Amino acid sequence: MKIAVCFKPIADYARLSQKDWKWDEGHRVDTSFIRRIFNCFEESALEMALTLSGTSEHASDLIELTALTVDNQQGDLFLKQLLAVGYNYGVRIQCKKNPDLRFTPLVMSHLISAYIKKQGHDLVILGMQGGEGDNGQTGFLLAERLGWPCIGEVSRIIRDESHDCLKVTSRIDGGTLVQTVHLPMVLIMGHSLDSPYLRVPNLKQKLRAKKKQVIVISDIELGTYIDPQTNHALTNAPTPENDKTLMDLRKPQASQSCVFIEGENAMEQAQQLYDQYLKERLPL
Amino acid sequence: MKTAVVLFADSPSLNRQTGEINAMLSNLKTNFSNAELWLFYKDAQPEIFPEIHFAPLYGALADGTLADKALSIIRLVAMEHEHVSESYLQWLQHLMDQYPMELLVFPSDGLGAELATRLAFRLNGSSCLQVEGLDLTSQKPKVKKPVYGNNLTAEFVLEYPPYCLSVAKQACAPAKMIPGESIKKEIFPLHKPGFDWVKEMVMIPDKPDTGLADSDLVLILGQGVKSKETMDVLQGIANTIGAQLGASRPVVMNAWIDMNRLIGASGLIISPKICIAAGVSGTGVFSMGIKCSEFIVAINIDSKAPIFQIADIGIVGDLQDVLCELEKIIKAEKDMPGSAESRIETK
Amino acid sequence: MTLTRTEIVDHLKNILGQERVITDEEVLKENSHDRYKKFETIFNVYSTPIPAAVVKLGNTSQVSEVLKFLNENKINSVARTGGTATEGGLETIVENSVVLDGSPMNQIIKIDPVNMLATAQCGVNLGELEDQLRKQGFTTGHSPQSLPLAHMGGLVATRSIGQFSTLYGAIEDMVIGLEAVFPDGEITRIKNVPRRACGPDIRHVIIGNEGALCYITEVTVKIYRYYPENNRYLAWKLDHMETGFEILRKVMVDGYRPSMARLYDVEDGIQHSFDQFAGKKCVLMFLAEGNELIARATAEGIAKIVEPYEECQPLDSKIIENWFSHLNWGPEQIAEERDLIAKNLHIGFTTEISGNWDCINTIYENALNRIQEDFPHIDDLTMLGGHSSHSYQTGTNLYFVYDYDVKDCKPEEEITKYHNPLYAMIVEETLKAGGSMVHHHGIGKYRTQWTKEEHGSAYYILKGLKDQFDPNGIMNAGTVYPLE
Repeated sequence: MKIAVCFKPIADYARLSQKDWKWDEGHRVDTSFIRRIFNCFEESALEMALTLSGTSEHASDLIELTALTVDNQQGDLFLKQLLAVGYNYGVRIQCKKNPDLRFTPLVMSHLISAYIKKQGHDLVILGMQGGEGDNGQTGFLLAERLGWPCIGEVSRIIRDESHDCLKVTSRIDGGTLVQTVHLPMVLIMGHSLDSPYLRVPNLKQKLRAKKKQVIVISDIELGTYIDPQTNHALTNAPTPENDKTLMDLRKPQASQSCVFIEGENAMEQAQQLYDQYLKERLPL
Repeated sequence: MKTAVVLFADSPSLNRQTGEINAMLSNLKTNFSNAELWLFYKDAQPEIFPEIHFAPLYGALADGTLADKALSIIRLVAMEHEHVSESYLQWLQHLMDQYPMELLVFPSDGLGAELATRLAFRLNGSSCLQVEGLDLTSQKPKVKKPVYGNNLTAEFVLEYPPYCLSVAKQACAPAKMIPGESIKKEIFPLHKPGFDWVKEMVMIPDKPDTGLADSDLVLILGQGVKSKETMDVLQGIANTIGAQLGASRPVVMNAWIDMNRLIGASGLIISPKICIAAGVSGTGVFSMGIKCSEFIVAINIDSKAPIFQIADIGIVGDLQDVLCELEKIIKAEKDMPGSAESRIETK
Repeated sequence: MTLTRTEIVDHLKNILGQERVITDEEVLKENSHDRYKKFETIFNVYSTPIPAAVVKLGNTSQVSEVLKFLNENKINSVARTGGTATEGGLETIVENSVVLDGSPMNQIIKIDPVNMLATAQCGVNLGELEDQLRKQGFTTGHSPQSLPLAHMGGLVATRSIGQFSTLYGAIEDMVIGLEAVFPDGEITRIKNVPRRACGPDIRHVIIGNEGALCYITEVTVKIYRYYPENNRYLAWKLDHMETGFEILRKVMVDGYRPSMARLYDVEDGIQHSFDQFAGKKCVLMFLAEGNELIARATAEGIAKIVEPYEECQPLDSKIIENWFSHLNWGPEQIAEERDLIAKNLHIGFTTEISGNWDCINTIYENALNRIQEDFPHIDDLTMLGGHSSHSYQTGTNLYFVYDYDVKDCKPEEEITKYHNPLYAMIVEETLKAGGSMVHHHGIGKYRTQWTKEEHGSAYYILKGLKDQFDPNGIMNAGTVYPLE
């Protein structure tokens, strides 16, 4: 079984203060001084795939894992970390002209599908949303481009007794679904408090990984070329490659300022709170 | 713009999902005409229908229902496989073939998001998820959605029809159900496509509600609580004042309260009449969970805590002290109404 | 005659009133340990004896009454306020101990801007005191990573140090006066004067006693003017720790006092994501703080010292400034750590030591080599490295940081399989090279086997204090002083 897990590290937004949220004419927010991390969906996906590959009992049902990202050289650190914990291949798609891919799931899915079609994977796992755009669409669009079914809000993936099937647990409205499915398939990871954390390589694994190479592929090699002016992929694809244009970024509206209750002690504060605001609202 | 709203009649959250769509439509300040509802169902054909506010400007009638002249037809589609998205997609393509819409609005849940995206792709249209705001004043629709981990909002122009949107999850008034006998209907018979990739499927319904989601008064405790022991005291206070107890992430992860009481993006999104957030710092991830409450009181020892940005009333102080005092007042009032006179001496 | 558990509880209720005596099982478990044994407690294993009771002390006379009672009946006590200790100092290792919780004593008594003093009870959270002070343009200058959670009593009892110590000093430089209660119930108050020569400095009997000699009830610290607007961060990446130590020494010896001076090795740096900015290099950083003239001169002086070192390449200070402002550990981080440990059985600890300039690099290399060569479960380690964060005229400290996967052992065995042996190797190498086995975390209960070696002949003085003030051995048995 060949599994590809797609990820895109993003800046740790929790470390940005209010004043750091500003952007240039290209609507780009400078996050260059903040560390980048996996988002929670992708972290679950990456760990889940590792757990799956650990369940191979025979040489015949070995699982080959590829970690795949679309990134510039900064992505190599993360790929090396994944190579250290057991990924067979770390692959980075680099777009020659560095286009703005924040809000373009159509382009992302095009690049990923081109790679997958070339390599012949059976299963692609992605996170539910991420990157700067939080578009939430790359997984669905990838399924469309590959012509594969997909399952969203996945929380657990295990192998079925018949080793060519997977048992997939996912969240639906009002419940949980457990499906036994044939491959090929696109699985999109959701997140819950039970979600796993990505394992950490031990010292030996880190040493060994130093010798492993990251594979870098350009968008041209995949048969596409991203025009940075329009963010359109120049191929003979009939579908439009960008269905929305970014107009503006805005900070969410700060609501009216909070009225603070003054009071010398807790008793006064609680009394004022009750008299002036709660009494009329409480269902007593 | 020819518009259809797509909903799933058997969804347990139908009222909330419709409410979310209504919340978005009401901000449009335009009336639709000849709008459609495409309602998918399994087993029993629906006899009541979610009320969609297509014509908010027409206002309410004397009997309280909306004068919704805008809804022209409900198309009812019977489903064999309610959990296989491909079966919906094929139906949607078929419906769009016969009744081409320019704008399709899908609910906020995973299925809605998936269908909006995949349908638009198949029809060479545009799609966008988590839509908080919609602007139809220009030729091409403009949408607003959260980006950068919910820290910013982005505005996009959608380029190609059909425009398929999935609305944002938000707390809102749940929609009413109406009899809808006067509305024209078209019924599409059951059709059983095969899906060979699913070998087996088991659905496990969620455990019944704690009642937290529907409570009018909620007390949410955060990291200011600091120990299980304090937690127990506060549970007692919550019981006395008649509040349901919720918690932010640090409290749940310390195992001081059940996971099903988590409030926030990974837990419950609630909109009680009164929400008291005590000892909660109020990060973006948490405040998503309560920001649509009618009235928010925040108690925190740190006057700069972000929670005060979304609260209506703020108290800077020790949460246990303040809540204990509040408990005394409310208990006194319950035991003898009118007795909870201000114990503050007037100067 | 030894009292039974129930009798102890009854007596305490008589003295304090029943609402101040907690016997709830969950609370007792939580108060039987500190962060040293965090692993087993996450799996709900509590291998330390559960105390008989946790008493919530509201004022000094209550402390005195309770200690008198415990002393008369030879019952072990453990003083506790914020609970962020890391070395086992809070473990109730004797059966039927009583935990003396001073956190209800949480009043900031006075902020005195003329004399530049702040007085707080032992249960005041340092973070809250800092917030109050900063509103008025002051700071304690004390900023340990536990600031959001730690209380004044514990911070003084452990001889704690903060991130800005290179300028402001450590807790012993900050404490002006104290109030402490001794086992026989004697309440002692040391007055606030700038300096005196009226016999030896008796504050030092109390500061750092780790609850083994007395109970701290109130603390007065000096305060400083706060000038955050003049802060200047400086950072470089470099190849060798040895070079880094050399530069740190030069900065201190040349008379500069940046508030923060740190040196991270490659491994520890990776843990802080420095490799995303510096590649696989060590990172050296400083913060120049204070009034404008001083801050500027300090920054310029440090830059001049680093300049001739070709292996030092500047890093964007914005990175370090942002990283540094997110270093502190509040409840959110502790909850996340708990979750990670529970799910991945992966945990990390630190052991920090100090040494003079001429031996610090030796200690750094020897300790790491020793672990690499002698630790039987080295394959389970995922990270092994260190950093220096508190420099002095004569030397510096060194944090050893180590993470590992806990494999094939029960929760309560984790400390014997991993934590204790790693700890021991670091302590041994440090003492061998002439350093000190604890820089600021306190001896706790796990380094007591080396206390005598650490102090050498001076242990005579330390022991004298214990004999004088706690002859019945009721003060946090097993802490600082080895159990005989």
